[in-house]
Amino acid sequence: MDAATIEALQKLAALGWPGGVIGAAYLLQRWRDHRPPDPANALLTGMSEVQSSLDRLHKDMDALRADQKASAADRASLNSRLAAVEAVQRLLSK
Amino acid sequence: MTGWPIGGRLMRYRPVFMVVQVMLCIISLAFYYSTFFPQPLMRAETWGALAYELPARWWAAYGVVAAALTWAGLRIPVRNWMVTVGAVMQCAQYVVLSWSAVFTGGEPVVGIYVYLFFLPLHLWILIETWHGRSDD
Repeated sequence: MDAATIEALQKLAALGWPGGVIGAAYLLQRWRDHRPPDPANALLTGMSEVQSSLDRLHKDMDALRADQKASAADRASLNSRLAAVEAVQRLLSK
Repeated sequence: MTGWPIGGRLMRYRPVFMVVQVMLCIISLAFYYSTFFPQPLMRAETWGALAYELPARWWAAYGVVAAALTWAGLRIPVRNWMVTVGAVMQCAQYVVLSWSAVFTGGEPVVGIYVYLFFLPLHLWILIETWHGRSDD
C-alpha cells in the first residue's frame, strides 16, 4: 500500500467513523434481547393469527359449497374446525 | 394531571428524549465536520480557555458518541446502562463546558444556557430511566 492510499484511508476513517459509532450503538441495543414478550403484543399476535385461520376456513367453506362432490363428512369436519376457531376468537375478544 | 410531573414517565417522554438525542447528534456531527474547515464552529472566545485544553474535534466526537449511546439506549427495549452512560457523559460535558464558558473567558450566556437547559434535561433523562416504569 502506498502513502497516498494510506492517507486516503485515514481521511475516510476520520470522516466516516461517526456512522460506525451510530451503527454500533444500534447493534449493541439489539444484542441479546432476552426480555419476555409483552403480553399485550402476544394477545394481538394471537388475535391476528385466529383471524387469518378464520379467513382460511371461510375460503375452504366457500370452495366446499361449490364442490358438488364433497361428502357430508368433509362438511361436518370443516364446520367443527370453524366452530373451534370462532370459540378461540370469542375467548380472546373478552 | 396533578403532582410532580417528573419520575416514572419514561415511556411517555421517551419519543421526545429520542428526538433531542438525534438533534444533539446532528449538532455534534456539524461541529466535528466543521473542524476540517479553516473556520471551525467552536471558538475559544465562545467556550472559554478550559474547553480548549482538549481539541474541539475531541469534544465534538465525544458528543456524537454520547448522543448515539443515549439514543440507542432509549429504543425499545430500553437499555438502562446505555442511557445512563450516554446521559452521564453528556452531563459531565455540560458541566465542564458551562464552567469554561462562564469562568474562563468564554461567553457567559452560552454557559448559562448549557447549565440551565441541557444539563437539567439530561438529569431528567437519568431520573426517568432509573425511577421505575409505572407507565411501561
